Formats: sequence, structure tokens, C-alpha cells
Amino acid sequence: MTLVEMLVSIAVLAVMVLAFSSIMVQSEQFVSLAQSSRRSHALAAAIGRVVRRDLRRISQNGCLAITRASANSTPLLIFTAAGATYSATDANACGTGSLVCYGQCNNQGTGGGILWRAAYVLADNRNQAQEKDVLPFGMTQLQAKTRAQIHTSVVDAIATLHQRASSSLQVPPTTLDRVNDLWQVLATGCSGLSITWTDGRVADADNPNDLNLNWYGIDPSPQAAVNPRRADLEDIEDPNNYGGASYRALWTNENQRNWPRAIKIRFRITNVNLPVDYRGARSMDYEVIANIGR
Amino acid sequence: MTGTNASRNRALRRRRGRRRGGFTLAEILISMGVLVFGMGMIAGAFQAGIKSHKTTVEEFLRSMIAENAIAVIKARVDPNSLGDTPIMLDDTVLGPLDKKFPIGPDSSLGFLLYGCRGQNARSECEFIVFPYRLGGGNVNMSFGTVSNVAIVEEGDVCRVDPDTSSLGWGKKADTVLPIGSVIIERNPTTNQLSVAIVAASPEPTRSSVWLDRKINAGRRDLPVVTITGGVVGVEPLQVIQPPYHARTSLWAGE
Repeated sequence: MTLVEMLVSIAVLAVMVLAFSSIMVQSEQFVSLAQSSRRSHALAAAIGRVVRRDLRRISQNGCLAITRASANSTPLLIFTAAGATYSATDANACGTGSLVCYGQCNNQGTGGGILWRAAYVLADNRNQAQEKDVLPFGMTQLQAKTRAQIHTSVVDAIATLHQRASSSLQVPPTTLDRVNDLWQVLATGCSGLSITWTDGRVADADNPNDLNLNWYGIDPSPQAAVNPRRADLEDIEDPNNYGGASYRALWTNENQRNWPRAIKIRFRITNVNLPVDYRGARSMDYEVIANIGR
Repeated sequence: MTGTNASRNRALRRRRGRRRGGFTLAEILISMGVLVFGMGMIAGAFQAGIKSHKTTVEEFLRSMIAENAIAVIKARVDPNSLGDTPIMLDDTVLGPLDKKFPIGPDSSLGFLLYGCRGQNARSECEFIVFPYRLGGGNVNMSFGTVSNVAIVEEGDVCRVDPDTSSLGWGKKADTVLPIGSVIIERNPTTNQLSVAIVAASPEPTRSSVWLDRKINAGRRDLPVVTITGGVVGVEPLQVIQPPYHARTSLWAGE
């Protein structure tokens, strides 16, 4: 082989190696992105399954509330679910229903957001203070409460528990107490929680160009068509909470015919390996729409 | 003479000896060819991974869109707006934003809906949800119907003969297409793209049949989505297969 032949073959080999390495690099990038998006999709699908299962079990003999503590805080969804429920923290505690709560908490460990889901057991005949996931009253006592009592003794109490969770939840946990709090963690890396509801009415029934469903509630997203207040909703949306730029919609067993038809939960999953979206963030938005009790 | 031959033989032996010690250009090129083939095979394996990823993502999107769609349908659709004959539900039945996820004008994911009343109960209705993903660019959609589609064979694979002459396309030849297939045509006059979706019955033996069997024997309507805008070279509408069939009871009338 002459020197020229050698140089030609080396040049050809170099081109091949470069082309192949380029394919390998691009494939590696694609696989990394694909893994991240698949992980994100799988997490969203799992959250969707839990939310749908919970909302299907909703009991109109109890209550349903969408609220937030202050103008800048994240929304909370609180509702009663029917069926035998066992405590995740106390082997001896069980009840005929549960008070299920969704919200967003801060992760005291790595930062970011935690999707908070706490299912509190409504334990009948349990005459002791609220402990972990067991409430000191049962479904029967909850049904006997008036709307005003539910405002204060249920919704306000849960809002307080949410604030406590937001200052204590830590993933990954560093102490045994933090490990014992993990029953409240549905998913990590979640933010941008919005909770809205619809009664099936359209935005403007007289306008044939605006026949979209009207969603009420707490949605910071600028894209959504949300009308947070309507005069004839005063028996649902509490006007007193509007004074503090907060929001509270409450449905109780006093009127079971005005309950919403569907609830929409929107959230964002952030992962450093995801592609950059239009906001410049590495995240994906998801939306779960579920009917009440169906 | 003898000395000349001897020196020539020595030179040949030297040359042969040198050839035995290395490769010729042809040998190297052949080995490179084998190497390229091997590399190509390895790179081809990634194609399978990409296809698998695409399938997984589409299955997730299909499931997410369909479940949300059924919830929106239950919350919004009045069974009295549906007839015994299945129809494509346009923007008067469900608002345009209701059919996109996440709900909003910028979303590229959404669904098209075909529905009719059920036969068994007053509030029971049947739907076929076609989850879709829009291609690039600003795309506007509107709904229409291609009439007189001859369904030659029913079932999961049906032979359709859509008479698209009313849209100015001329008449298409017989085509065998599975349910949920998309027929994309460009109107030569207006340059608009039209998309027809094959939506024959998934259960042809049932009495309530999609794309109404009652019109007359085997002749039905195909829903048409007219698309304007989009990006050249990008498929304007990709229906995520297979379509989702749901039978559910609705709120109104209860």
C-alpha cells in the first residue's frame, strides 16, 4: 500500500467515524429527552388515575370545597369520599369515608413543588384529637354539620393542615419524622397547580361564537377562559372570601343539586432533562378533567 | 541471462513478501464497507427505539385526551342535541376551546367527536373520540360532511368510496382504509386542505350503527375537517390511533 492509499483510507475511516459518532451523540440526546418525557408522562398519567379514582368516589352527603388561604397561595381541593377507608399511619384506625385533599406544597428538601394529597380517615366513634391521617369525627358527624360549621371546622382546619405540611414536607427526607410525613406526598417536581370547576354552562349562551364551557375557580394561567365570579353563584362562592382576594367555593349536602359537573386540575411537571418550552422552562403542562361522582 | 532471471525472481519474491505483510486498497475498502454496514445496523436499532417511544407517547396522549374528552362531554353535551343518526359534533355542541388540551387556543392537542343517542336508555349516548395532534403553523379547522360515502365493507377495515365531487376534488377510487384513517386532499381552487376521517361502525352487528346504516343500504356520510394554514411538508392533522369508542350516560334529561 502506498502512502496515498493509506491517507485515502484513513480519510474515509475518519469520515465514517465522525458520521457514526454524530449519530450516536444525537441518539443519546434523543434517548435522554425521550426518557425524561416518558417519565413525565407516566407521572402525569399516575396522578390522573389517582385524581379520577378519588373524584369518582366523591360523596354528596359530605362536602366539596375549592379554596385558598390568601391571594398568593396555591389552591386547595377538599372533598368527602365514600367507602371503607383505612389509615396509612394507624393500623387500628378505619372509617366509613375519608376527607381527601389536594394542594401544592413546598419541598423543604430539594426545593420545587410537591403535589399534596392527604386522605384523612373519617373515623366514627373516635373521641380523640386529630392525629396524622385520622380525623376526630366520622362521616355521620360531618353530615350533621351546617354549611357555616363546615366552613370553619372542616375547610379552615384543612387549610391549616396544608400550611403545616407545606412547611414540613421534605423529599428526600432526612429525619424519621419526615419519613413519617411521606404519606401526604403524591408527586414531586409539580408546580403551577390550578383547580377549576364547571356546572356545564357555556361562557355566553347568547353568543354562538362563544359556546365554550365556563370554568370557575383558581387558575393563574393566562390561556384559560376562567370567570371566577358570577352573581347567581353566591350560594356556592363565598363573597366574604373575595374581600381578601382569596377564593372559596363550597358545596354541602344542604343542596346536592348545585354541585359541579366536572373539576379540572392543571399542573406542571418540571424535569431538568426535558426540552425547553415556550416559557424557557424545562417543564410540561398537564390537565386532568374528571366528573364528580361518575 | 541466468543472472537476469535470478534477479527478477528475487524482485518478485520481495514484492510478494511485501504484499503478504499488508492490505491492498481494495481490501481496506471492502473491510470499511463491512464496517459501514455494521454501523448502519447499529444505527438502525435506534430507529426501533424511536418508534417505540413514539408509540408510548401516542398511547399516553390518546388515553389522556380521550378521558378528558369524555369528562367534558358528560359536563357539556345535552343528549337532546344528539339524534339517532350519528353526527360530527361541531362548535355549536362543544366549544372550540373545549376540544383542546390543555384547554387554550395555543394547544396542538385536541379531539374530534362523532356521536349519537344510544338505543337502550334515554340518557345513554355513544361517541367516537378522535384524538389528534396538529402539525406546525397556524391551523384553523372547520367541519363539514362528505355525503354519499359508499361503505363497501364494514368492520375494523372498511372499504369506502367517498364521492368528494361536492368539494371540488373529483371522485375518489375505491379505497380500503381502517377505522380512523385520515384522507387528506387539497382543493386545487382554494388550496385548502380537507381531512376526512373514516369512522365506520366498530360494532356493525349492533342496532345502533355508526354512520347510520339507516340512510340507505351502505351509503353514509363521512365527516370532513377543512384545514387552513399549516406548514408545508408537515402533516396538518395527525389522528392518534386507534379512535376511542365510549358509551356513557349524560347529565341532561336525568
